[in-house]
Amino acid sequence: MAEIEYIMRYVLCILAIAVIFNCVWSLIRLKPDKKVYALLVDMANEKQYPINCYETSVGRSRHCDVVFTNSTVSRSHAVVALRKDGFYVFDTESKTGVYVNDEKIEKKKKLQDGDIIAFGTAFMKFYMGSEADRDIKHEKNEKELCPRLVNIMDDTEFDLDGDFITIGREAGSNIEISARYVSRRQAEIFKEKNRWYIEDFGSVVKTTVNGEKIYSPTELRDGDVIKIGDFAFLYEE
Amino acid sequence: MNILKGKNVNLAIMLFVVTLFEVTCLFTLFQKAEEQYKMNIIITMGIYILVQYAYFFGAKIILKRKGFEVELIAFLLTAIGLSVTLSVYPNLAVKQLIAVLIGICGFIFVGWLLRDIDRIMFLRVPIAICAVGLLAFTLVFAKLTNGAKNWIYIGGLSIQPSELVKVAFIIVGAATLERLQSNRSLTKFIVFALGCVGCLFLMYDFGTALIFFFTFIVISFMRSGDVRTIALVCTGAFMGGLLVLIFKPYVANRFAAYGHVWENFDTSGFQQTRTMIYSAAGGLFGVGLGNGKLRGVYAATEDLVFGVICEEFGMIMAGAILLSYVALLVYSIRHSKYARSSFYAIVACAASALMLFQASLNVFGVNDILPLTGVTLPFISRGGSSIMCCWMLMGLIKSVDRSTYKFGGVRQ
Repeated sequence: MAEIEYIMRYVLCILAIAVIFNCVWSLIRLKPDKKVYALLVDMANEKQYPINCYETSVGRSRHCDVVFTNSTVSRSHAVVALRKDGFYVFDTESKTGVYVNDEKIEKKKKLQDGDIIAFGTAFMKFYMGSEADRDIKHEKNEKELCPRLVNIMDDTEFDLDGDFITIGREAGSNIEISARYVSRRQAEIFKEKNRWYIEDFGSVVKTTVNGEKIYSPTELRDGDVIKIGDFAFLYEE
Repeated sequence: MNILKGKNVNLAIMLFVVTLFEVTCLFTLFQKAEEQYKMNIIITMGIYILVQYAYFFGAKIILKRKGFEVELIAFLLTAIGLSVTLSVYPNLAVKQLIAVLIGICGFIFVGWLLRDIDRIMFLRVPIAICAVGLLAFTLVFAKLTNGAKNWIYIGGLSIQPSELVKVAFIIVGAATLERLQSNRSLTKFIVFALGCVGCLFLMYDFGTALIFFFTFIVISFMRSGDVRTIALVCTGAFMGGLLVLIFKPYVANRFAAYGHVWENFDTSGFQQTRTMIYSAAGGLFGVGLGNGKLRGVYAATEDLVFGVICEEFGMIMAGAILLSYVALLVYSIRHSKYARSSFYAIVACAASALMLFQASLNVFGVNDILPLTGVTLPFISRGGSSIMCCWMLMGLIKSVDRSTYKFGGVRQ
């Protein structure tokens, strides 16, 4: 019995230390990931301030998260805070006030992506998400902005993201139509001065826009229907 | 979404090790206990282990929480404290267990309370009034026990309201920061703190008064960062303390033994000298649970519990226990920058700093490095109010971790 008791002393000590050291090491080692929730971009010099805290203080004091040397900015000017329903900017009793899109705020205002915030005479642009997210979003927006042709038969979409696209039976055409009555080079859709035009290459079966045969470059408008024989495409901007 | 870099401890393995520790303690206690208390010990430890599993099951499986280091430390420390209590006072086992269970419920309640910051802002005034009211009530109705008027007796139960007020003090102190770093005025908080510390001083509970004052300094500094105001408050408090010592010299008698315990070996320095002797006798691995001699000294499981740990569990474990208090403070500081709000950062740092300060007062007190103030060692010392307070403080510490709560419907 005495031997068991003797061993128990060591067992207890080892077990307790195993738990405490593991937990303590984990508590000391682990730290929250610096996820970037939003960005503040100084409009004067394009300097970026990532917002990776739930509350980010802006001011002239060196204790602030975003520090300005501008004399129109108060020591503790404002706080950009993440709340349940999004980001807010709080005016923390600054002398020169906080403006969002040229509108002076009272206490707080919810922020939207792309808002311009003025802290005194320091102008910042607010972006939701990290820089990478912003680039992706920007790309996505560009893509969403580019017009497209939609095949009415099967809803296939063709983005008009270059300067021109070709339509024809010829292999290598951007929109290849394998019907005998379609010319090898049937038509071309091209961009000029940010407007899209369609030109028929003198094919046997004429290309039509909204039922009218085209003989010269014709400007396309949202909702136009381009028809080549039995094939019909909707132009969407 | 895991917001922490790296991996948390494996809950299943750690829980298994904690359980193994508890079962080993139970086995040792069972061997040494008198026949009449054996069932008492099994029931107490058994219920404690079951509650521990119920908590982790609920948090992990139902609430899908991550990161249980804080709770694992709390459960282990409580188990150590419970073992010491069961070993010395097996007749008080059930009473202590009930306090632990209330404390765990308090931990969950504080977690729920702090989830909504608007709720806290709404409740801060009632909480402040209740806190000061409770201390005033104690001051008026409590009887002088062990040189301090800090116990209220209801039926057969004794409660130390100042322990519960610690939690309220931190919540109210952090909640007076009402407008996102804009309200830097500490006036309301100073008035509230003065009320609390004043009551404690009049109750002769100087240890707790010192803890409150230290917490006040931590909260004030975190709120305002204004060193001048804090220096002014400290100077005021120092002058106030001097005045008390001049006009009420018997207060100083309470600390007469400080620095002279070996000269008063068998009188006023009895507790400290015995603690130091038996702590050293424990060596690195201790003499074994239940084999110590310090347990025979008055307040062995309360004020002198650190000595009992050193003697029976050894210096290594005692050091590890102290390390866990430090780790809680480091954890709070590291997470405070990324907390959901400055309120949570202040609350967690204040709670962990309070715990570490209290532990320091206890450990340095029994070793005559500081005067013996009679404060408890968090989680380890016997005492219902103390254990309840410690668990609730853990709730405050846990609130700093963003992964504790769902935010916008998502647990981060």
